[in-house]
Amino acid sequence: MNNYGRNQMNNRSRQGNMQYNRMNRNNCGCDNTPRTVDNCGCNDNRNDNRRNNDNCGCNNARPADSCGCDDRNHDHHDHDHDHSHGTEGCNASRYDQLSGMALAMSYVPWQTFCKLYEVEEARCQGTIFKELDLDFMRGCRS
Amino acid sequence: MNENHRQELIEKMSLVGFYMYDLRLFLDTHPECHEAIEVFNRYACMKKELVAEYEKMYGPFTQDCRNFDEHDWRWTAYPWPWEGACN
Repeated sequence: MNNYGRNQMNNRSRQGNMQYNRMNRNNCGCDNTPRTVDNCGCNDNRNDNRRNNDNCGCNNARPADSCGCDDRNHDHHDHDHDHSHGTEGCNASRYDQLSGMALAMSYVPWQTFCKLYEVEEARCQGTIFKELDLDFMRGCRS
Repeated sequence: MNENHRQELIEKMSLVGFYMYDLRLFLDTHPECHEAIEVFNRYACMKKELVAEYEKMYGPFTQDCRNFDEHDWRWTAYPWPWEGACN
């Protein structure tokens, strides 16, 4: 993947940020808040702390051991419940580390302006931001 | 006329141009980040100075050049990328 391809990918991620940004444009994210597992780096007034492994953000809390299938008689605490739907069925998701999360929901942490590469290295790495120079992209480089 | 120097200027413009490109992508989603705007302006000035230096010595770098010599059309005076330039 060439540099511009990589940046197009970054840009697509930022488009997600753009929609989020419309919710609150009073802060550009330059506050350099350290990003940790428990803190995405955005300001508290934007940070949705309600979301965690036990709560996907919707009003229907779903336990991690639930397959989420639409079985209205399903008992969330009945571990012997048969989830099989013919082939692999729901049981496959039981071992998914993200099985407690809502389907089709994703997130992009708010990027802060920090950790810039120098010009030569930026072009070699395909980004000016060290935080976007991700290890798993290295195999994609030509 | 120094071909090495000309190539060096092209390389610098390419590096600075890439930096501006990525800064612009960031600013598209962070339009009120003054720190990023400041850095962008710094690199924009740098690019402008590099282009001015190039065009003064070697002729137009882009067709937007403001100082085309009316007696000497130098647009095609140097090798095109497909002729081995920019390697």
